[in-house]
Amino acid sequence: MNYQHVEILLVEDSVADAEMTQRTLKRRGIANDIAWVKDGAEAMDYLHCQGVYADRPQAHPRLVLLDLKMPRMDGLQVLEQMKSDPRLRAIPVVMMTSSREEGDLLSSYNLGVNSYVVKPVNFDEFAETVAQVGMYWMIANQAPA
Amino acid sequence: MPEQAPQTTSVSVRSGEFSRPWLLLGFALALMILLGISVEAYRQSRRAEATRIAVTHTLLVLKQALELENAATLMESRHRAFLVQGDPEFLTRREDSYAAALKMTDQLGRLVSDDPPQVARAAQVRAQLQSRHATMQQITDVARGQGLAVARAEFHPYGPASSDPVRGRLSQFRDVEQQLLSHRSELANRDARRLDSLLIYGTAAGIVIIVVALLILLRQLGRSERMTAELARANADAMRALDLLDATHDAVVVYDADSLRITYANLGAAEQVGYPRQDLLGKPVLDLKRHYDEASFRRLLAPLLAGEIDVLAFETSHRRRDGSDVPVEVSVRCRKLADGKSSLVTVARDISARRRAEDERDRFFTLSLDMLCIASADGYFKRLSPAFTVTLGWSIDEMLARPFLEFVHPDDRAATMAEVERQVVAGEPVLQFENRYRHKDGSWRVLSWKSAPQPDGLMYATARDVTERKRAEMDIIALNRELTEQQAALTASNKDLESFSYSVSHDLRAPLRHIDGYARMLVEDVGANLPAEPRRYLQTIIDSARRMGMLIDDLLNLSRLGRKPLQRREIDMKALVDSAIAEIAAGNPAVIGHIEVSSLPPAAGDSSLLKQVWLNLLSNAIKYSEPRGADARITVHGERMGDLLRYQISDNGVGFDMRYVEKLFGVFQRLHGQDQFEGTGVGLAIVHRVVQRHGGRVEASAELDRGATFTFELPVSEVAS
Repeated sequence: MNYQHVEILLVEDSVADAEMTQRTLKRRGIANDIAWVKDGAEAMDYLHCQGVYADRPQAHPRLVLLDLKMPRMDGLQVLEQMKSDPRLRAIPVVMMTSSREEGDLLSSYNLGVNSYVVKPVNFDEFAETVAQVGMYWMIANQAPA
Repeated sequence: MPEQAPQTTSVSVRSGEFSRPWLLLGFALALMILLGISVEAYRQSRRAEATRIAVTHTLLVLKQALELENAATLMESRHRAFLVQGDPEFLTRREDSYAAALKMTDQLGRLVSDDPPQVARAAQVRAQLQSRHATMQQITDVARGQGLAVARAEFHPYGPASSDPVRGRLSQFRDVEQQLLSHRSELANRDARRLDSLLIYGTAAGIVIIVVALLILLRQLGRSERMTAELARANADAMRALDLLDATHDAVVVYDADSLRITYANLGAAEQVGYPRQDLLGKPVLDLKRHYDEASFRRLLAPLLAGEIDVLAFETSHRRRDGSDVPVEVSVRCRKLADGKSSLVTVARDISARRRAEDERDRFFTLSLDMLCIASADGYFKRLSPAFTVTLGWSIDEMLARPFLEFVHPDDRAATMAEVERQVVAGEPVLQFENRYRHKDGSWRVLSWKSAPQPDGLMYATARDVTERKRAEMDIIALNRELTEQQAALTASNKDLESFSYSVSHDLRAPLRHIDGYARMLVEDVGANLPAEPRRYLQTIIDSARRMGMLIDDLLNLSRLGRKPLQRREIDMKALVDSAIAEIAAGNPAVIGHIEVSSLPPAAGDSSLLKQVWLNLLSNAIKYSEPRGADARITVHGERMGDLLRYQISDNGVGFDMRYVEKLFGVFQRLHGQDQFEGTGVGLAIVHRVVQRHGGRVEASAELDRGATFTFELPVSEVAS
């Protein structure tokens, strides 16, 4: 495992959600290196190493946790761009959302999302969910070489 | 042809005919000649007969005279013989002869009784005879007395000539008779010759005349036979022609031009006017004519009789025997007959069917609510049905007086003209178009036309007033537009509602999660160090956040129910209830022992929504019967009630106050305190909503502390669909 790599890219406009997610992942020991961006546009900059991220090391995160509803560019748009880009297509994307709307869920799966997770209101459940998702995609699931 | 045959026959008869009087005269002449011959022959033969009798008589007289002379001679001889021989035998014989001679003399006298001189001569002969006999008697006496010699001497003086006086007298007599005989014979010969020539020439003349007459007659007979045959043939032809005439339904009537009386009528005529055929013969033809008196009828026939026209054709009515009328189409021809008279041949066709059709057509034309018209290419109406007046207010005359284009709305005239040209010039078969016509009151009526052209350049068209329909169409279009707008507004507000619930779902839950999350983090990080009271505060924050999360979730569920389309399917209700119980039992296995489910009729509906109904009702029942502990009883059963499927769930729980039953199915309505029973007050609202969307109804009944029963009904027709 290369510890120079950012392991998880968290795309989340909510500071509180981001903090809670990061706290959970770190406390459970799933990932230490978590990059956090606040909207879709920033996420695309990060993934393409452009804009303010032009100088970052040329390496892809092992997992993208993507919030659905964000300013500028929302989660579905990011997902669509990633899955249509051969270089980014292999990165697992987990949609993290407050929405139970079926339309969003269907759109996400149609665009090739790897998991779709509704953030529980209950923090315990939230933490459990985040931990399980991180565990699965970071440890159990083997990325293509 | 058959009518000409008798004419030619009559001509040939006349040309070869001997006049009857001449023929009769010939026969009369022949008859008279033959009659004359017969009469004359008869007379001649009678005369000849008389002559023959007279001759015979004369011959008889002559014979008698001869025999008398013989007898006298015999008497003389026997007398002499006696004188010579003296034999008395001779005397006897002399007396016999004398007696015979006397008798003969008497006979002779009788024979010539019609001839007095001869009678006288006969009498002289007798006298001579008697005188001689007397002499002889004297001599005999002498002989007897004096002897034969004396007697011979006595006798001798008279000698042989002593008998001459008798013979002389007789000879005279015979001479007379002889003359008579030759005279009568000559007469008889002459008569016979006359009769012969009469017979020969008269018979010949009679035969000639008869032969000539016979020849003439034979010739006439031959002609007559030929004529009869020709007549028979002509008659047969005529009969055939008349039979043919009986085959037609048209009435064929022939009548005399002078008397106007019917001389022939075919079967069709009899049928047409309802008279027996024989009644028609001799009937004045005017009896059948309804519209003519004699003067007017003769005026009508005049040009025909004058030869100015060949055929007279007209329509009229024939009066039937029962007084009704038959409309007929009549054609009359004139035939000049050989005798100079004229015969009129009429053919009358019953046109009542045609009249009826025309009447019906006219009636339709008049009665039609649609406007019917005939227009010509010159731009004028030719005929209009009264419906035009009804619709447009103009009288028919007003509409006929002006070109139809003048009635058309100025904006529609060009289009109308184009349609007319398309029809008349291009021969388009059927046209359908609309235009506006001016009503007499100045308003415009929209007429929908259907028009078909005819080869004669006329257009037959129907029009319908569609003004009201047009208006209604406009109204409908306006209404539709309004409806579409409303629909759009509704869709928009629905969208608003959706985005509202979306934002509720997303934006309200996030802060809640944060409240909960940060409170938890606080408890995690410093909870152990906090006094009990602040820890309780933190716990309340966490509980409240969770509860609000549940409320939001239920609310979203409810709103989703309203929008989601129903997925109707056949449902095994029992299986559905069992699966709902199993789901509940997953978190609380103890409940199974308290629930009793009887058989349930199947239904049709959205199984996921109906399962939610059962979940909510079962959860409620379990929740409110929990205080009963091990005695808690929940029963589920269902039945079909006519058109309804009724499902019921009863419990023996705490029940509720029926005074508040109406609040039961409202959103966020609760009859129990949150501290008593957990719940958001949305569950029954969802039940109500789902049942309602299935076309059913739900109700509840309860008694405080005794339990509650929830009943919902679904229409059975849903099963079929």
